[in-house]
Amino acid sequence: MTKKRIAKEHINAFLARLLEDYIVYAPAEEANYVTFRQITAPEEVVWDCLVTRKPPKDVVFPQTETLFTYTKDADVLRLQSMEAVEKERILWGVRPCDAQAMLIQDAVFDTPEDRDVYYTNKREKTWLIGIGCNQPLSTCFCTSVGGGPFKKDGMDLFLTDIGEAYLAEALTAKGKRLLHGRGFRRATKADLKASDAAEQTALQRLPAPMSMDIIKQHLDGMMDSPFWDEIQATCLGCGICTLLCPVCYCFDIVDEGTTTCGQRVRNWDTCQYSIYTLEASGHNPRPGGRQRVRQRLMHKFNYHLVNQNLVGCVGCGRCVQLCPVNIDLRQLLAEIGAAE
Amino acid sequence: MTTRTQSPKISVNSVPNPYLPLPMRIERIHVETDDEMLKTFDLAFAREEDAAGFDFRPGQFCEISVFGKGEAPFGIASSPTETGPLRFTVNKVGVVTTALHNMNEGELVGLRGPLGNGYPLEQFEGHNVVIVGGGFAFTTLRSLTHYLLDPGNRSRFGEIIIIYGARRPGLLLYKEDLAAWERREDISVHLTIDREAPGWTKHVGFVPDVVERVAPSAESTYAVIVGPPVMIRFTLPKLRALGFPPEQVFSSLERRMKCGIGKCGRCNIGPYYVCKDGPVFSLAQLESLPQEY
Repeated sequence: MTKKRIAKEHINAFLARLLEDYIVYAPAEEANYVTFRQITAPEEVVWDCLVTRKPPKDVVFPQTETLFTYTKDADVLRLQSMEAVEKERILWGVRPCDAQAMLIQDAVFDTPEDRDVYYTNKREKTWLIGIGCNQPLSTCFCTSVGGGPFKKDGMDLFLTDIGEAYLAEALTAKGKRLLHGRGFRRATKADLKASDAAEQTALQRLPAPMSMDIIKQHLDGMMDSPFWDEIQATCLGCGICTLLCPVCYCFDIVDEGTTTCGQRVRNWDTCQYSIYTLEASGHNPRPGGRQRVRQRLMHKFNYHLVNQNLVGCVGCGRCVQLCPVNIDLRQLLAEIGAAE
Repeated sequence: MTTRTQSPKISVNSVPNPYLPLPMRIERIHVETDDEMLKTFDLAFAREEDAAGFDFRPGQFCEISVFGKGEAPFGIASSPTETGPLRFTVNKVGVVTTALHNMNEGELVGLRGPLGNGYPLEQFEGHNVVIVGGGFAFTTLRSLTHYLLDPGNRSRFGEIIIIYGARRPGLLLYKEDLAAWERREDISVHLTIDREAPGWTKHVGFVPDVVERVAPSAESTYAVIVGPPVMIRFTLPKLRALGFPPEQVFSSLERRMKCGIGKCGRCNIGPYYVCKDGPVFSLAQLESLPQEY
């Protein structure tokens, strides 16, 4: 596909042009952290944040979202679905790990038998402009789970920082249409070489791949392992590892309102809470921390492979960064991989 | 596994939206048990066009909405061979079910479905079927029994045996149906209660013991067992002793559910979602899963 260069001094003008036609979400400051939010000016973009606090899943699968409003009188029930999406959106500055996570969520929400229109309507109007990670963080481990700091899967357009300029690569027809206008020049051989060099340098900073097949196989035999007790002994069950995971897609559905009018809302949820599976009778199929920490790893590294042939982890390291008791998923995976 | 039937779905912009419930009118409310904790709700489609497209099989379930309170999953107790409203029997136990119990005939609720796989009827064809139920879990077993006994279906199945128990006579569901089935020649019905009660002339004792006493042959026979976990736990060894292999035993699981279409995650057990891949599983499948049900 087409590769062009754009000098860094022109990149904001490019983004400003996109802002005229699209709703743009980009890493930007919100309260005390950087997260994907709608921006109105290129200057709002925080360029050096690799791992935003909230992953971009929030744009297509919002943390809280009204599915429909209802009004009900004695004779008529009226539902007003909120599924329609008018304007096209651009996710600017998406990292390869977060793009891979969206591909995994696509496989969950966009199934032929039951399309989740709230997700797919947004997703179909969302274009991804990604950027490679020249300097992966110490918590990054995309290469361990099959990803890479310059992996372009799911991207429409991909930027690589080559010093004074970005190498811009169109990966889809849409990306190609976006990739023109003032500031873009033909990429030189030196640009391509600089891009390769950036990728090689980044790869050296990242850990070696792990065998996801071996981890899956070992997990097959670990349902009753004491391993889970060790994790749950420290785990607080706060759920942050799952709520802010770019892959995790569990949700709750609740009604807000009265019997005659209100709305049905869905919210992110987590398998790490006991109430998640608690039944009205009081019975809870996953009553303890042991079952819940097991569920998180089993789902990501075993069940997901069975169902989708995809690992339910992209190595972004948010769970490693944000765990209040320093449970390190990389360490857990290494132990599972090494288990007898 | 059996294939699931397609439900009619309300659509906006021609793409069906699986989250929008159909309006249903409560046509009849019947107090099912003498403790009044179980009520049967007959729900009629508020719009005729919805009824035409609603095609289900025994063992499937629906999400019923009580607006302002939420949704909860319930097995369909009526059979596709019965005409008229859809039937659900509801135990008053949580927020949605309590709200439902407080509603009146004529009021509107929402319904999404049918959901889940249902019983593997094609597999049962040409074989005997033993139906083992306990307590208020007889709902989809009522649907199944009506289906098997329907004049258009009866000849496609062998012997049909029902073993159904409750703590006491007043807690048995569907007493009229049970009485009608007892009068028939082409089904054998074994009812049991936990302890002797005045006027009770049928079995006394727990379901597993009655299964042992009735001793259905495993030869060319499928067993469907639905009830409280403790009943299932003690009945399975009896079925095994009678020679039933795990491939010939089916059960229906209950789990907390929200979406009902395999997305929201909470009914996940192993690689399965109870709402989408179940709720009906063979014992062979269940034996491969973590004990998370």
